[in-house]
Amino acid sequence: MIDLDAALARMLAAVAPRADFDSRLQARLDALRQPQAAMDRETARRQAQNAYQFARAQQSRQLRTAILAAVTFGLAAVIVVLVIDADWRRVAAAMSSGVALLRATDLSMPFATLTTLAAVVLAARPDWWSTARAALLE
Amino acid sequence: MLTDAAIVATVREAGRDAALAQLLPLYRRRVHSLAWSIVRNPALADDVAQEVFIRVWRALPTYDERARFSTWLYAITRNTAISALRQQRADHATLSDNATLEEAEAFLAEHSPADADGVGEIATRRLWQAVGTLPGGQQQVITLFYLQDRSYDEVAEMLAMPLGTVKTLLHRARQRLASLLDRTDESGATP
Repeated sequence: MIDLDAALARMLAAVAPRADFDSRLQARLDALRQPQAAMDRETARRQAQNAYQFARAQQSRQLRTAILAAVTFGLAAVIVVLVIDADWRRVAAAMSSGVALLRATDLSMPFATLTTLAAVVLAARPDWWSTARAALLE
Repeated sequence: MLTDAAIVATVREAGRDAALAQLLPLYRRRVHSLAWSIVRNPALADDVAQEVFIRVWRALPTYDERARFSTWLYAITRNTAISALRQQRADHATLSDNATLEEAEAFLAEHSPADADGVGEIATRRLWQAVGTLPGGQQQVITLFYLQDRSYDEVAEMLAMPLGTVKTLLHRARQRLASLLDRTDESGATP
């Protein structure tokens, strides 16, 4: 009958990495190092290029949004002035408040436009609001 | 013991070569033991351990302490060893697993101290054959347990198993080995 614990420990005592483990690993790493350095440089170059392209895309997206907003609000102002024959100074004041609101909040473009237009109309023609209010109260 | 934060700091400040130089002495034997417990072949275990440290060297800049370093390292080791084993089986489709076992058996018989504690070459072969008949999990746990200075915690972490499972597997493996060896003693069989 053998001592199982001692026998297993003794049997497996020989299991160890080879004596030249570190030097063989070092040689393999040396062989890898050059291509790896080139790969790291290439990765860094790609990351920088991606970041630049992302920034450019974001910039042009912001510019497009600003132009679209300016055109939309300009047209809306002209329409309001011409169609409902409002005082252009009142309309301009309401418009600038609307733009300020749009900049200060995170409303989506269509919703912000509608809200601003409603505000503009009410500011331009306060008599409409009084009529509607009176009609509701009656 | 090198902490995970210290590993990240060393990689950042001194580079991955310096970090690997600190990690090698700590983990060389553990990685090799874990690889051996899976592939059960001295040459292949050595190759796997080398491959593991190369993968670690490559991935060290991306290591970010989200997982414990040892857990990460042992997962790489298990995956690399299993891939190597699959590759070896595919390459030697005509050879049976016995070829690997015989190689390991010969290695152990050759390197184990003869006749100490009554365990000579023949006894070592018999013991190794008995270990070879254990179910996979028991085989791996009992091998690693004796390779890792009989530390239950270390074996549980290496195999990503609960401590209780390790203890159960080890208990069953010991019982089965004892009964297998008793049986061969009674029949007087030698390999």
